[in-house]
Amino acid sequence: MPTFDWRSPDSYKSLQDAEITDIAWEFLRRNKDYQRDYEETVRNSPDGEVSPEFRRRWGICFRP
Amino acid sequence: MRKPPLDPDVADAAPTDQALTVYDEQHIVTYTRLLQADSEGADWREVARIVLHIDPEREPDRARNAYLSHLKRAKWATEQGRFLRGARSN
Repeated sequence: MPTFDWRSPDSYKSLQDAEITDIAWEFLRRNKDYQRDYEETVRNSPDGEVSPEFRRRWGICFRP
Repeated sequence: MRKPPLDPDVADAAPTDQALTVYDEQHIVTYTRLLQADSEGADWREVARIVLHIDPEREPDRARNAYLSHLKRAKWATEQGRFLRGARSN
Protein backbone atom coordinates (compact mmCIF):
# COMPACT_ATOMS: atom_id res chain seq x y z
CA MET A 1 0.00 0.00 0.00
CA PRO A 2 1.57 3.32 -1.02
CA THR A 3 1.99 6.01 1.60
CA PHE A 4 0.01 9.16 0.89
CA ASP A 5 0.88 12.57 2.30
CA TRP A 6 -1.80 15.11 1.48
CA ARG A 7 0.75 17.93 1.53
CA SER A 8 2.79 16.29 -1.18
CA PRO A 9 1.16 15.85 -4.60
CA ASP A 10 4.02 13.58 -5.65
CA SER A 11 2.98 10.99 -3.09
CA TYR A 12 -0.16 10.43 -5.17
CA LYS A 13 1.67 9.57 -8.36
CA SER A 14 0.56 5.95 -8.15
CA LEU A 15 -3.05 7.11 -8.56
CA GLN A 16 -2.26 8.61 -11.95
CA ASP A 17 -1.55 5.25 -13.46
CA ALA A 18 -4.11 3.41 -11.40
CA GLU A 19 -7.11 1.69 -12.88
CA ILE A 20 -10.44 3.26 -12.06
CA THR A 21 -11.08 0.33 -9.71
CA ASP A 22 -8.01 1.20 -7.64
CA ILE A 23 -9.04 4.83 -7.40
CA ALA A 24 -12.56 3.86 -6.45
CA TRP A 25 -11.12 1.66 -3.76
CA GLU A 26 -9.05 4.54 -2.38
CA PHE A 27 -12.28 6.48 -2.11
CA LEU A 28 -14.38 3.70 -0.69
CA ARG A 29 -11.97 2.70 2.04
CA ARG A 30 -12.11 6.29 3.34
CA ASN A 31 -15.88 6.15 3.60
CA LYS A 32 -16.84 5.99 7.29
CA ASP A 33 -20.14 4.17 6.61
CA TYR A 34 -18.31 1.55 4.59
CA GLN A 35 -15.76 1.06 7.37
CA ARG A 36 -18.51 0.61 9.95
CA ASP A 37 -20.47 -1.75 7.74
CA TYR A 38 -17.40 -3.84 7.01
CA GLU A 39 -16.48 -4.17 10.68
CA GLU A 40 -20.01 -5.18 11.56
CA THR A 41 -20.38 -7.62 8.69
CA VAL A 42 -17.13 -9.41 9.44
CA ARG A 43 -17.84 -9.50 13.18
CA ASN A 44 -21.23 -11.12 12.64
CA SER A 45 -20.08 -13.52 9.99
CA PRO A 46 -19.48 -17.15 11.02
CA ASP A 47 -16.58 -17.62 8.61
CA GLY A 48 -15.17 -14.08 8.68
CA GLU A 49 -16.25 -13.51 5.08
CA VAL A 50 -18.43 -10.71 3.79
CA SER A 51 -21.89 -11.56 2.53
CA PRO A 52 -23.20 -11.25 -1.04
CA GLU A 53 -25.51 -8.50 0.27
CA PHE A 54 -22.50 -6.59 1.49
CA ARG A 55 -20.84 -6.89 -1.91
CA ARG A 56 -23.99 -5.76 -3.65
CA ARG A 57 -24.48 -2.87 -1.25
CA TRP A 58 -21.04 -1.44 -1.96
CA GLY A 59 -20.66 -2.70 -5.48
CA ILE A 60 -17.41 -4.49 -4.87
CA CYS A 61 -15.87 -7.84 -5.49
CA PHE A 62 -12.93 -9.24 -3.58
CA ARG A 63 -10.32 -10.97 -5.64
CA PRO A 64 -8.43 -13.97 -4.29
CA MET B 1 -9.84 7.76 -18.29
CA ARG B 2 -7.20 10.36 -18.97
CA LYS B 3 -4.37 10.71 -16.52
CA PRO B 4 -5.59 12.95 -13.70
CA PRO B 5 -3.26 15.86 -12.87
CA LEU B 6 -1.56 15.63 -9.47
CA ASP B 7 -1.99 19.21 -8.35
CA PRO B 8 -4.62 21.02 -10.45
CA ASP B 9 -6.23 24.35 -9.66
CA VAL B 10 -9.84 24.13 -8.56
CA ALA B 11 -13.06 25.90 -9.41
CA ASP B 12 -14.69 28.06 -6.73
CA ALA B 13 -17.21 25.28 -6.18
CA ALA B 14 -17.18 21.55 -6.93
CA PRO B 15 -19.86 20.01 -9.21
CA THR B 16 -23.17 18.94 -7.72
CA ASP B 17 -24.28 16.66 -10.57
CA GLN B 18 -25.78 13.29 -9.72
CA ALA B 19 -23.15 11.54 -11.81
CA LEU B 20 -19.38 11.84 -11.92
CA THR B 21 -18.23 14.58 -14.26
CA VAL B 22 -15.04 15.19 -16.23
CA TYR B 23 -14.17 17.75 -13.56
CA ASP B 24 -14.45 15.00 -10.92
CA GLU B 25 -12.17 12.73 -12.91
CA GLN B 26 -9.63 15.49 -13.31
CA HIS B 27 -9.72 16.20 -9.58
CA ILE B 28 -9.50 12.64 -8.27
CA VAL B 29 -6.17 13.39 -6.61
CA THR B 30 -7.52 16.63 -5.10
CA TYR B 31 -10.48 14.75 -3.61
CA THR B 32 -8.26 12.03 -2.21
CA ARG B 33 -5.94 14.58 -0.62
CA LEU B 34 -8.90 16.42 0.93
CA LEU B 35 -10.26 13.20 2.42
CA GLN B 36 -6.84 12.27 3.74
CA ALA B 37 -6.34 15.71 5.32
CA ASP B 38 -9.84 15.60 6.77
CA SER B 39 -9.25 12.18 8.32
CA GLU B 40 -6.05 13.53 9.89
CA GLY B 41 -7.90 16.51 11.36
CA ALA B 42 -5.89 19.06 9.38
CA ASP B 43 -6.68 22.78 9.62
CA TRP B 44 -8.89 23.68 6.65
CA ARG B 45 -6.90 26.86 6.04
CA GLU B 46 -3.72 24.93 5.49
CA VAL B 47 -5.57 22.48 3.25
CA ALA B 48 -7.07 25.32 1.19
CA ARG B 49 -3.69 26.92 0.71
CA ILE B 50 -1.75 23.75 -0.13
CA VAL B 51 -4.30 21.60 -1.98
CA LEU B 52 -6.69 24.17 -3.47
CA HIS B 53 -4.13 26.94 -4.06
CA ILE B 54 -6.39 29.56 -2.49
CA ASP B 55 -4.97 31.82 0.22
CA PRO B 56 -7.42 31.86 3.16
CA GLU B 57 -5.87 35.10 4.47
CA ARG B 58 -6.50 37.03 1.29
CA GLU B 59 -9.73 35.34 0.17
CA PRO B 60 -11.33 33.79 3.26
CA ASP B 61 -14.83 33.32 1.82
CA ARG B 62 -13.68 31.89 -1.48
CA ALA B 63 -11.22 29.58 0.28
CA ARG B 64 -13.83 28.36 2.78
CA ASN B 65 -16.49 27.76 0.15
CA ALA B 66 -14.12 25.96 -2.19
CA TYR B 67 -12.86 23.80 0.67
CA LEU B 68 -16.33 22.84 1.89
CA SER B 69 -17.82 22.14 -1.52
CA HIS B 70 -14.88 20.03 -2.67
CA LEU B 71 -14.76 18.04 0.56
CA LYS B 72 -18.49 17.43 0.28
CA ARG B 73 -18.08 16.26 -3.30
CA ALA B 74 -15.18 14.00 -2.32
CA LYS B 75 -17.33 12.40 0.38
CA TRP B 76 -20.15 11.99 -2.09
CA ALA B 77 -17.74 10.22 -4.42
CA THR B 78 -16.87 7.71 -1.70
CA GLU B 79 -20.52 6.72 -1.56
CA GLN B 80 -20.78 5.89 -5.23
CA GLY B 81 -20.82 2.12 -5.25
CA ARG B 82 -21.59 2.19 -8.96
CA PHE B 83 -18.25 3.85 -9.44
CA LEU B 84 -16.85 0.40 -8.74
CA ARG B 85 -19.70 -1.61 -10.14
CA GLY B 86 -19.38 0.02 -13.52
CA ALA B 87 -15.68 -0.60 -13.61
CA ARG B 88 -14.02 -3.33 -15.58
CA SER B 89 -13.60 -6.47 -13.53
CA ASN B 90 -11.36 -9.35 -14.43
